[in-house]
Amino acid sequence: MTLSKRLSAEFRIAGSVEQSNNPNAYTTGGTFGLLAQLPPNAFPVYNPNKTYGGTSLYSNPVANLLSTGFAQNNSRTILSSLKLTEQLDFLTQGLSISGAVSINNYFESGSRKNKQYPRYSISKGVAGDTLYSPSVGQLTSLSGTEETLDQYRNLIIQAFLNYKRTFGRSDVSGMLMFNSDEVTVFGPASDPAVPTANSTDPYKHNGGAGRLTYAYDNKYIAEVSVGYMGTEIFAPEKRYGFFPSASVGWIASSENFLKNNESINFLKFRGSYGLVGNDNIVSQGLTSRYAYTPTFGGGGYFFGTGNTAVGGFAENAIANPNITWEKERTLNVGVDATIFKNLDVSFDYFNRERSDIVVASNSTTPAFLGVVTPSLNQGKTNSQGFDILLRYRSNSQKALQFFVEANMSYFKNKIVFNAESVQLNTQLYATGTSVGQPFGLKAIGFYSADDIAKRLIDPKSVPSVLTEVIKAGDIKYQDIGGPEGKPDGIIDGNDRMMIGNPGLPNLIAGLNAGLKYKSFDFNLVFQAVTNNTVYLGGNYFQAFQSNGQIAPIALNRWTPETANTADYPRLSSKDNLNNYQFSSFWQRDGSFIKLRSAEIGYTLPTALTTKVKINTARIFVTGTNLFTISKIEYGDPESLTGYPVTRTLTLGLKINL
Amino acid sequence: MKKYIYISFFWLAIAFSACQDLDRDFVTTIGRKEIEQSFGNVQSLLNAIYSDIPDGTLYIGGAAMMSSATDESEFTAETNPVQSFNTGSWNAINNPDLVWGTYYRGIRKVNQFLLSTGKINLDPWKLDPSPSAQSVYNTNLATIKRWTYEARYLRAYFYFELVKRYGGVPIINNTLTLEDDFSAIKRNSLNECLQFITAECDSAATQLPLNTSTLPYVAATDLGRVTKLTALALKSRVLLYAASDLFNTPSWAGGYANPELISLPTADRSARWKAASDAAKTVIDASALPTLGQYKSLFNTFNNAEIIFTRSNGASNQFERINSPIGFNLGQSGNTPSQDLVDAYEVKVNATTAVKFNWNDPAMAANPYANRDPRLGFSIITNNSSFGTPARNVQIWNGGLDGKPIINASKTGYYLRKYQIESLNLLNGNTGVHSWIIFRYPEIYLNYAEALNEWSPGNADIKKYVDIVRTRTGVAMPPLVTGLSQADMREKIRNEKRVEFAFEDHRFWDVRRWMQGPEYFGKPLTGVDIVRNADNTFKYTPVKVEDRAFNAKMYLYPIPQSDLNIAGSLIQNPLW
Repeated sequence: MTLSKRLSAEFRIAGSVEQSNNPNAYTTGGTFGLLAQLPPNAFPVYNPNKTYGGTSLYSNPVANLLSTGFAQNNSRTILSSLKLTEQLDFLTQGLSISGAVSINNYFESGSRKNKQYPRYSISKGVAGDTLYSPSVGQLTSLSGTEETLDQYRNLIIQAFLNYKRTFGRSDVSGMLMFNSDEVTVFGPASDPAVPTANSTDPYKHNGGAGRLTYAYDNKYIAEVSVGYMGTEIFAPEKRYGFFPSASVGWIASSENFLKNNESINFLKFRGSYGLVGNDNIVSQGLTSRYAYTPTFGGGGYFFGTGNTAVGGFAENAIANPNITWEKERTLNVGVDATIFKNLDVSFDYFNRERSDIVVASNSTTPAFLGVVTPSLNQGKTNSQGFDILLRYRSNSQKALQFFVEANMSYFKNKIVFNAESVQLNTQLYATGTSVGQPFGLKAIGFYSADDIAKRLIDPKSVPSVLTEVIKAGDIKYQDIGGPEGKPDGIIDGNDRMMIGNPGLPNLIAGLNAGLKYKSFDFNLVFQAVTNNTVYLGGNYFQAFQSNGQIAPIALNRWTPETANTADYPRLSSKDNLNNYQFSSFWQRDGSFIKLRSAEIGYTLPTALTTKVKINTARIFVTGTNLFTISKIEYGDPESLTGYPVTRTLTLGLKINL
Repeated sequence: MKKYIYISFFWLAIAFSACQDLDRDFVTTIGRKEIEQSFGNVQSLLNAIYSDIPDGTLYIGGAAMMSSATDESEFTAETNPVQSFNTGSWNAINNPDLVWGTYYRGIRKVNQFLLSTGKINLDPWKLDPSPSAQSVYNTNLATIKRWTYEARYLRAYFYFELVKRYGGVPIINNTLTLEDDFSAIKRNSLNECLQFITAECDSAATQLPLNTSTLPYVAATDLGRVTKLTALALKSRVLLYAASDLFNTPSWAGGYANPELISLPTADRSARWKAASDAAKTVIDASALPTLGQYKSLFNTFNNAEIIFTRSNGASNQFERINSPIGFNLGQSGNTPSQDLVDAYEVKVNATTAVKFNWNDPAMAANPYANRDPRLGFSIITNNSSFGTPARNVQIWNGGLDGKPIINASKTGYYLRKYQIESLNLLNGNTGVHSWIIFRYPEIYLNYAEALNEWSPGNADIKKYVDIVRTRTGVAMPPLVTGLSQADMREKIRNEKRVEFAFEDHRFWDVRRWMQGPEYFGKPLTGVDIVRNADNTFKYTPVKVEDRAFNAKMYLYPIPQSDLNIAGSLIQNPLW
């Protein structure tokens, strides 16, 4: 809305109301977990007399969905903002100032209707009749609770000063911004069921930012920007962080010597270096949101003939008034080029140095300090890598058009400093390893009958995990460290070492290809990842553990006859603390190649469609996750447990009127 | 034109007025300043110091007692960290009894507390001239003064807990901050530490009421507080340790370069023993002595005249869950007494004669629990004796409800009875108060006798005070025979200490200060194998339970490696 020649206003408002209904006892994880655990022969879904089957151990997944009541979640969002802009051309051309206020609100309430159902297990009586057990669980009437599930209230005030002007071949633009925001969150982060006084303490930021861009003749581009940010979670002197960055670019193909080059059509070099900050450190293990203030609590005692409890005030973790922003320095260099008209090439290299990561201070504060020591800005990580993109596009004039795009990204990261506590087994230090590196026992085959015989004479000659009676066919682990740092004949936490790779792949490649011929079009997306390790845990893979079932992975289990060929430990009907330790035995290479999606389409001839007043009509078939090549026989490396990856096949018709 | 400039300033004004204050909207925690203002809150600071007094019942790994790191018992669960003591696999990185930081935490609390007591705001009473307000003011002043001595005593107690483990430790009586230079912190000599502790005991003893029934203490609210007797009792224990072999024999450390950290300067041992006996006699003479009552029930109470100081706890049944025999509801076997300890209980032949138990005596071996010192039955569940609620006889024989080969049945053939509140029905979730006695009179008597026997053998007081312990109500063992040699008397006193204080966390330290580690802790632990005969009698055979490791370095704990790494001036103990 234009208010005057120079002043304009913009008012936006948006809102939404959402409602969802679910069975009360339904959660995706819980339902699939139960399905994974339930032995197929545990009980029938319905007993012959139409009651629900089930045992005291297992609930009935069908009944869980149908007979436990329902939960209705109702959320309301309203987003509103008002922005006023004034042109300041009278001061200098290209200058404008604006101010904005936005108020956003979100509220989610839950209406929960609860009930329980009885289930009965059945058995066969002497006469072949069906016997019903006493009911497990009672039929209850529907009871309800109304609850606040989530809400936030947020206020943002911003002011901008913008400048943009062209002087001859020079383009200059600049921006100054001021921002002040406040958000009160009362949701899953601070469990609404147990609100504390801190739950609704608003998160607040003040900040200023500036940017200056200069471009000359579309050849040279330079930009400098600075940010100055303040947050309420640090002490007054440590609240503000200064985060500058700069970037330069050179479009070499605009230079005279390349201007009319046949083979190099476009060539650009770019580079940037900058510092950014992170104040979201509460979620990363800080017990208190305000690490800079000391707190007291706990330490009660008992006095008097009645052993009466009295309250205490003990100093909690020492306050760290110096706690401040985590920082990341990023260097990026890249090249974009188009050669031979149709081939786009892009290469990027990055080096990110994170520092001042908030970590426990084990290695720098002594225990005789006499207090729980604070987390300090001491951690450091480094991550380097590159991205490559190649794209070939056929001429758009021909009947047969196609494109092929291949991309690959690779990174390598390392914990540079982690302030770790002293370890007996030096292989357990995470410093120097990748972020997320798993540590566990190394499996070295199965115990043979000979091993067990030797153990009878001297238990330490064949080391094993304590507390479990070892039998032939159990998984054998490598004994590397004891309390003295040498093998000690016992398998315990000191025998852990780096096993496998982190769960996050560090090499990802993709292939995206498309083809268009006359009315037909065809599109494929492949993805491949490698250098990651997945873990076969839970009921799908660990037979009979936690009252679970058994899956095909256990077919080639250890038996005295198959001792030489078995690839699965002996089966045990109860929980086995030896075989199901976190160990390399259950790790697998998580590499895969997947056809993420494929689509084939046909556009009906225009001559035909215009007759029925339709501009275009296209029929298509799309499939996702059509096939996977991986080294895991018994599942999809991306979702070994829980909600599975879905394969979809869609047949569609798209009409433009 | 001017108008527009004004408009621009208006915009800027809006922008900057929007710049909010980044302080917290509301403060939800109470800080040191607020605490120090208030009389009641400072008292809570003191309560928190009391809460650092150790509780030996569920001590290591939340389950095992220190007794299971000695020849008194074996802890059933192999995964409990206490086993490291027995296999000898403990060291500067892995120490199951890692109290270094815990006690320095208590010491820090005291250091800060002593500053806080000076800042309490008593003005509302001080400035009110009414007699009642003035009386409250004076009472509060006196109370605050008393608190400082309670706190200083507790700090001395924490230091002694460190010293008996580590030898000389850094005496840190100021509050360290992160800015302090930790590498400048050095260990004080053993002598400095012990002198500091005894001096603090002396000053607390002059300022605190005799016991918790002496005004201004009122037992109803103050039972459990530090008293004059507590301070004197600690001094007695400290001086006994100071006179004993370990702190006077640096040779065990094999040419250790800093003998002052682990031993006292060479001096007249008799004088040290005399100082120890004097300190014990001071406790004895401080007040009328209580009658030593029933032994079994003593460990289920916190209010008994025999108790000088105890660590109080809330009601719980975790101790019973951990230590009940495996065949009882929720029982986990826990700390199981050894045959070595059982053998230490004497056999009562008649009213005047008691002899050592002897497996080679066929009559004794056939019926090993008959005519024993009653404290055996009070402290230990022997085979076929009654236990628990609902009560039944414990079946520790092979194939019995509580015996091998049941998984996690006792490996020694015994279960622990001491401290268990047998009236609790665990299935019903009954709970009871388990307090951990830190000082009780018999320790003082035995300290006195032990020290006196070293510098004045033959003194009539020696036999007198050992007999008070032996002949206590319900135990009534025959008094010692007269005319024992110094060495025989020493043995008698040590054995008396062993049986009277079984499981009370004395053995671990007594054997060390007597320098008998290899003799008692370096040999296999024994238990008993029980076979039920066809006629329902039992055959008992002593068996080895496990090998135990002890070597000289274990006389003291190693200083934690992490602190050595950070504070470069700390010196590690010998041989670690």
